[in-house]
Amino acid sequence: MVFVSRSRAKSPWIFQVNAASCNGCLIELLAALSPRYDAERLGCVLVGSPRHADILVAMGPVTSKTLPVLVRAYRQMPEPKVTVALGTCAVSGGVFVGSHVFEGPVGKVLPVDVYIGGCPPKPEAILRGLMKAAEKLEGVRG
Amino acid sequence: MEVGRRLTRLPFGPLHPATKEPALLMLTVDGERVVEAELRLGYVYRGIEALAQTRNIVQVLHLVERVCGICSHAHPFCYVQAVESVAGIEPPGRALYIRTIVAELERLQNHLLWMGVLGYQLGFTALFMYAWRVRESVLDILEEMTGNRIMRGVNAIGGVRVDLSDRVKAKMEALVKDARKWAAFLSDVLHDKTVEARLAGVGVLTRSDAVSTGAVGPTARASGVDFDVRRDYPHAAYEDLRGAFSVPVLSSGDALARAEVRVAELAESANLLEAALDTLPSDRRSPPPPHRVLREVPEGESVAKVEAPRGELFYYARTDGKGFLKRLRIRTPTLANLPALAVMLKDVELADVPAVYASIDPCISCTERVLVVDARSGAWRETSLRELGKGCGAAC
Amino acid sequence: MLALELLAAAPLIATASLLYDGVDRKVRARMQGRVGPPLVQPFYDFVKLLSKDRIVPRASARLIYTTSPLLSSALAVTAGSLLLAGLAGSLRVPGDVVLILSLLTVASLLLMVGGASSGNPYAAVSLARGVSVLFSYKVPMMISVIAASAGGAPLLSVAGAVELQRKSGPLALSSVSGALALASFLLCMPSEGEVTPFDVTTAETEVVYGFMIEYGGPYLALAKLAKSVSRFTAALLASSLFLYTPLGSRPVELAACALGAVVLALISITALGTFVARVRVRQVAGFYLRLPMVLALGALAALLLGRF
Repeated sequence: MVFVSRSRAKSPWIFQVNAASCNGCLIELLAALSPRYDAERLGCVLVGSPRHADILVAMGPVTSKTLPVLVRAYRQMPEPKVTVALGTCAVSGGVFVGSHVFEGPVGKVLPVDVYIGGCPPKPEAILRGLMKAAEKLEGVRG
Repeated sequence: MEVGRRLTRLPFGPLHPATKEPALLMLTVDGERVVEAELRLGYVYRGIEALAQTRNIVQVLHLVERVCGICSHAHPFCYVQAVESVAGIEPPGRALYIRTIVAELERLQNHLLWMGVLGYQLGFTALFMYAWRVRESVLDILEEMTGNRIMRGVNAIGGVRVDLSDRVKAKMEALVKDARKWAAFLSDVLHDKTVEARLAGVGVLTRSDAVSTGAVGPTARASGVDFDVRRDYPHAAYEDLRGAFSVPVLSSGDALARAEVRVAELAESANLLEAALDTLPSDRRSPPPPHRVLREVPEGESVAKVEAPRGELFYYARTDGKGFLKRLRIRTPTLANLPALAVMLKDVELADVPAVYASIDPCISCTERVLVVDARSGAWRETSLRELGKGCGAAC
Repeated sequence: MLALELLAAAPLIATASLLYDGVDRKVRARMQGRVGPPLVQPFYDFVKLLSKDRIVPRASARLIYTTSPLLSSALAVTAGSLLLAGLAGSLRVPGDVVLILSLLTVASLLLMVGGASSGNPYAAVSLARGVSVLFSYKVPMMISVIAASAGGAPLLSVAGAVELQRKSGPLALSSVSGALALASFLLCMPSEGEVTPFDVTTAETEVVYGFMIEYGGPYLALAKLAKSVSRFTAALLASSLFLYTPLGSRPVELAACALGAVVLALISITALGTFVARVRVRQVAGFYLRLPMVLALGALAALLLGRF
């Protein structure tokens, strides 16, 4: 059983949902996979289907059109799963608070486990946040 | 619909690894052939232009920086020019040069990023890794200079917020040499057999199509449209640097040409950087403080344009004389390029959709800020349906 | 006795396959200038996926969807175990190489059909692509294997080919036919392993993993296991049919054979996949009908000419 929970922490696969982000967070997330930061050395890979994923990384101020997309992606992921809110917009709404399509930060829509602040957060910060999320996965009962 | 054809509807998005950004490309495919492509946007619409009317002129600077995280310098660069021309503020020469230098660094990192994305689309992960590895050295310099990698906040109304130290300048000079090496190497990579086989002749945009769809930037230049805002409407330091760079133009109009233009632009950006660093003026002057800017900008309107990495970026600003904007209108290069994308996707193979989609370097985040866009894209969608509906009963 | 041996061989081939995946990912990462995941990463991935929730899409054909990953991985592991038994000399049946390749083919097909039964349109496109790819590379692969094992006794068996090579040295180095067949086989290996440039059925940016798109948790774990066992079994088959080197004692030879499989896979799967872009579906079929087919037929012709 120890090996199972250990495996979860060692193999966090991420699925990114760009919920109306400006791409700043997205490119920093991708930069975290690039050679200098190399998230794969921590077992972390970016997957393209929510069915394969363990960590949902949500970016951007959630807008009325991305809200259903975000929720659907979350529902499609198999348990155990954790959610990461990446970037100031996902954490609080950032400069987009007050917009008529702003539905609230990610935390208002989904249960968020890890918040990574910054506009955009540096890849180092993203890696740290993902590792926090992986630790959470280790403790989550499947 | 014709009898005997099995058409499948493939939703390419809104969460598709090839688009990354939420955009929905509704494809109707017949086996492997795309018979219809319909782009549905609006996912990244954040109401930025409406928001801009609720914030003061200085706050809007930070808002427009967040239109797009990849060309986060081009937007404020263009915006400050519009506001400065309303207010009649002349920024110091050094500030203009610094804006130009950052703009060229941004082009470098954008084109490298784009090369990486192209590699990823083609399943060529090593290219992605290479491009993103060398891109880090551009970001390092930007970070050392401004404190941030992505949202750099260089521009201020009437000047720049940061200065260029000698240390950073020396690093940039080294970067110029590296950038030429990257460009040479990437050019070799593009002519690798498997890469060439995937890009040559794919998603062709003829010159007349490029003109009639109003394509801009590298997309248009790869189709033989010789236009570059930096040369044809010089602003900031580009006026002085006119002789330092040339505008690469190709005529074949396929995905390979679009890639080659961008690689050639890497080298041109290096030339521009070198020249700008050589002739950097020394009139250091801080921009006027925000409270003075808010007081001093009169009522008026103005337009500005810059050559963002993806093409011509256009701003219209109308101030109310009380420190606020009555109207802000942004036209981004991707918006101009989307109709061209519709032409390119006509009759391509499913396997080529990611490469063609990537080849215009689309930035959906840039494109979707305006109430108008929804209506406009609706109108545009109908034309694209007609253009793309070849062989499809619903559209013909 | 054979049944017992096969049972013992199953975990061995599964472990070796996953370990090779780890080597592949590590080497790939190093070639891209990265550190890469630990060698045991595929085991973490496998265990994690096994422990995850099972989701069956409502639109799927439930029975096919849920059983095909299990059946597919079982078939692939059986194929690998048969190969190990043949290598160890305890399986001496004429035609077992054909059986091994057929099992691998059925394993791939099952997985595609299972994925396509999810009702996802991408999986359907992937199935159409997969079938065309499967038939284009399996033919030269089968011909080259037949050319390699036609000389041994029992006919077309791993044991026969091994014994032949123990007498006269590695086939690929001692005969023109063997060299041609090996070249053809190596070109087919990336397709067996479904890696770039021939991963058109599961390409992420084109068809979002194709038939794997809806599979998650344990189903994905088994599907991935089936893939990696197929990949490694093909490499081991190449190493044992073409490059089995007589070194005196059988354990040493077997170890060398396994090492040879890793090297072959590193060349034709890992290195190739790192430095080229993906090809189009149409190009896959066109490619296999040309060079690998010609090489395989050449191998067969050389063999027949040598006979007479």
